[in-house]
Amino acid sequence: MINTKTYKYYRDKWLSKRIPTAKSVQLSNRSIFILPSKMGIGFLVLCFILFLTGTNYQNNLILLICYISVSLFISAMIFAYFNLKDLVLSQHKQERFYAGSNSFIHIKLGQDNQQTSKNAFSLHFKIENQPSVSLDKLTDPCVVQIPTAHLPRGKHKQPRIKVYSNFPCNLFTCWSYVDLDIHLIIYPSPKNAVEALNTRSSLPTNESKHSLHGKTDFESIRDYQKGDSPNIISWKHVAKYNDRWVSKTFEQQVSVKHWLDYNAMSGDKEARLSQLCYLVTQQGNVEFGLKLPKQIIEQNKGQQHTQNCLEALALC
Amino acid sequence: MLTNKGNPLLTNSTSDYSSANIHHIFKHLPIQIATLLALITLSLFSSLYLWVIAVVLLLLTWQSQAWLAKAINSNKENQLYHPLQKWLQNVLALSVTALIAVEAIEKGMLASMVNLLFVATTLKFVGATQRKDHNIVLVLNVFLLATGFLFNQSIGYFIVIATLLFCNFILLASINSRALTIKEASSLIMKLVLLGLPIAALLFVGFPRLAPLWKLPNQQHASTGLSDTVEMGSIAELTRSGKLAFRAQFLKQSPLPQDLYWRTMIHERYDGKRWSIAPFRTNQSLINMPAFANEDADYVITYEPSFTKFLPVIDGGYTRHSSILSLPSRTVEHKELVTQKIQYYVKQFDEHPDKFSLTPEEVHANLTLPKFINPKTRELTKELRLQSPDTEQFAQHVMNLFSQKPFAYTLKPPLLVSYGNNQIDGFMFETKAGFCAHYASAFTFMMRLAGIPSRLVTGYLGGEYNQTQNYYSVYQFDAHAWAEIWIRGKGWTRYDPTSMVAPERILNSLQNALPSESSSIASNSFSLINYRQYAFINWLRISMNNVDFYWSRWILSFDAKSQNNLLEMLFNNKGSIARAIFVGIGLTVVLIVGFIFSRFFFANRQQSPVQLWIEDIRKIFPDLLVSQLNITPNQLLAAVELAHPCTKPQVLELKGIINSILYKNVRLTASTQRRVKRLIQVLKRQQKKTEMKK
Repeated sequence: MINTKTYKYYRDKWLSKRIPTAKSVQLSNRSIFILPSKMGIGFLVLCFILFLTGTNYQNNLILLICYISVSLFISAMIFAYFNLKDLVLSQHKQERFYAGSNSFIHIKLGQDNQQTSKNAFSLHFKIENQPSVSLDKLTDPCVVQIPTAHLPRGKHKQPRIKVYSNFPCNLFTCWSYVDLDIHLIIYPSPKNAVEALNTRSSLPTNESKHSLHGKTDFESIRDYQKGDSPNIISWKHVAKYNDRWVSKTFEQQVSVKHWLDYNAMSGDKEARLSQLCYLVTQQGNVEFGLKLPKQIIEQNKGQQHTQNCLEALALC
Repeated sequence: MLTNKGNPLLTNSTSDYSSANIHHIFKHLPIQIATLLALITLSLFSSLYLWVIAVVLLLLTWQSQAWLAKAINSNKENQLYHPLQKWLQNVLALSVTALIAVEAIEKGMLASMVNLLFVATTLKFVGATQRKDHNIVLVLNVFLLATGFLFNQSIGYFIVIATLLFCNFILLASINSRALTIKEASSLIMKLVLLGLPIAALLFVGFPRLAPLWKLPNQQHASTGLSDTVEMGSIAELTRSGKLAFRAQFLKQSPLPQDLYWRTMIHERYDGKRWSIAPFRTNQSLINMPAFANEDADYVITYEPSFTKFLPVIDGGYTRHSSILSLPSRTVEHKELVTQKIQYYVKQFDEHPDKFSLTPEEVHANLTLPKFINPKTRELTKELRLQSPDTEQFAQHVMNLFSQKPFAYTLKPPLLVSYGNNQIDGFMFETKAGFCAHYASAFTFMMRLAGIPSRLVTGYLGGEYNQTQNYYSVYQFDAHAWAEIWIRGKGWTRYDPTSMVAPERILNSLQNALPSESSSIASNSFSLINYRQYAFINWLRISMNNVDFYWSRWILSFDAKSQNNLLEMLFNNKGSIARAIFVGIGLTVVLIVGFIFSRFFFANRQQSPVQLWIEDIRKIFPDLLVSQLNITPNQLLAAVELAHPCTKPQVLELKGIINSILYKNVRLTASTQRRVKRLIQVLKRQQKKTEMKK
């Protein structure tokens, strides 16, 4: 008796040879598996009963119906195979999520070649132990969002994705396991660091006497002016005032440079990283640097910088 | 977050019938399945009990109403869909099963099983909540449809069942692929079936026909063929049946119509009321007949199921079919009841082995009569016998009697029951009206009284000749009875006293022989045979007959034997290896064709409309751009304008449309498409004009 674990081990070993990891996978006869579905087996049983009835009553028409059903079964097999054949799967973009939130991977479907598009029906996508996602019909290249397991902070290699289809008539299940070498980067879950910081007098600031307590540090709102960074637009107020665009004004928002320091945080490692994560997301247009136990990110600002910092936190 | 590039069909769902699609599914599919089930019910009308049909239709209507209400109120939260209550379903199932079990005693197992399966399918469907249930129902439907062929195998019925089967598969496709519209689903199934038909044909022709694997209880069926006993009047009902009895195709020359006496049964025992088959005949030793090849046969008979054992042949015919026995009484008998169409080749022999000898058993059986009955007839026979001591002369005398005295031919003879055992007296001296059975039994009776071995024979007489295909269709109303007497030196000789009364009955088919009282032959007034005087209807009937002939000859009676003949013809060898090769090669070819075929279905080879337009324009101006194959639409149009300045307005408009589609992502509407087509036509006309000028 083989238990599931050993079965999976050997299956994965075999699969990695058969369908190697690739950035983009085109399904072919090597990677497509096909077997009758439960209903397909039922259908075959029906064909057998029809055969028995036709034979026992020596009834040619019942035999004819039996043979028509069998031939439909065979042609359904061919159609099921061609439904998946040549389908190209690739990763849509690098995935980043905060720990504790729902995470997904996005797979681009279709053919690389834009000239011809691939027709496919009833596609289902699934990561083991997770709910599946269905795509009723594929005509143009499109992107599907497949839920993944809840993952802790870090970088996670994603398991193989099962692509399957019961088209046509649910007589066959045609499936493939693809490994697109997808890594999910899970940031720490952002935890409000304000309370933690309040208990301690020392603030992670060097050059500014103003604290940077997230939202609390803007003073007022003013009308939007051309050139304002999107980071300082008060979206909440925009929504409230309908069409009037307003920006937050920060005291001393210019030339405030500071460091976010791992050592300045409280709690265990994860708690500290969570707090840092929260602070990083709250920096807006402020230049900041990040000091981690084994890594220092120089002061900078902008979206790319924020992402770099978050990634560093995720991998810390 | 980009998840879907304008694809409205993307859904996140985990269960069957996700909430996003529940309206879409329940608005249409259950109603469609219900309709299909109702149609199947109607198609199996003849084999289902009336009350079962009523229950099924009621359930379907009731449930459809619930679905319709559900579909209409689908946006209201509180209007939930309720399938049939579980307990009610169980109660219904139990009571219906009990009722069917009661019926089974009377109507037989087979019919009951079909009914039971039918009710079960309906209940399963009515209680269905998931796609899985619907799938089961649709698979069971295939079996239900096939059972229809146990009761009816005509080509018309086959077409009905095939259509319903096709619809069933369409529904199966559309409930399992939500994106498919009914139209797309039907084209998909059409492709699947077309791709599969060669496989089905191969299996039908090449897959071994097995003998029944186990004995099944005989179908309880009203016997429609000849009865093995003849009572005066019992054939009256038969003659009014317009059902086909068999077809005979003559491979050599066909005999004259008046010689078409299809002998089926001999009745040698008379008890004063009915003629029956003599007991000693039932366990007679068989006679061995020389074998012959199918090509040497005189005719081939395709016999409809009669639920009797006896088969018709012209006197002196025998067969080498493995399941058919040739009997010393010169009749042929099937080993089992004929419940399916069968086909057999018959050869006439010149000298029958028993022609000049009569066993003591036969002599006894063919002379025995109950004592003291029909005194008047006895008297008459004695008188006639004294006048003509020669056997043949005497027989002719009796025959003449029927034409001289005022005897009448009728299918509605007066009843003779009141005469008790003296029925022949009653017929000969009182009623003087009857049909073949009356005349034949009176004649045979008189022959026996005179000491001449004689017997009553039943079978069919004549048939309808189909000139184009050289075959005879013999209907149940062609059933006939006549007599055979033993003449020393000649053997058994046929005498048909009916011919003396109604000679047109012998020369023509029964339809012409009947007086006006029964102008309608078939009791069913819808039967086309009643309208044979109208040329078109008659032509239609005969054409349908021809189709039916081929249907019976090649489809319904294609058995192991025909299969072997075909393989023999194809490979000069009927072994299983040839069969395996045949099926193997066939399947390979079909699969290869299938692969190519499906590539066409899944490769989206459609060119964009703009490309098609450009192709069209290029065709109009073939000399213009031979050297330039890779040019943009704009370049092409500019070249057209340069070469033919008169086309400027059309070219400008085309440019505008094409550019807006190519570069501004403007959607192409049907009206734009029509406009472009018109513009291209104008271009074509102008090109023709310039050519004319040149």
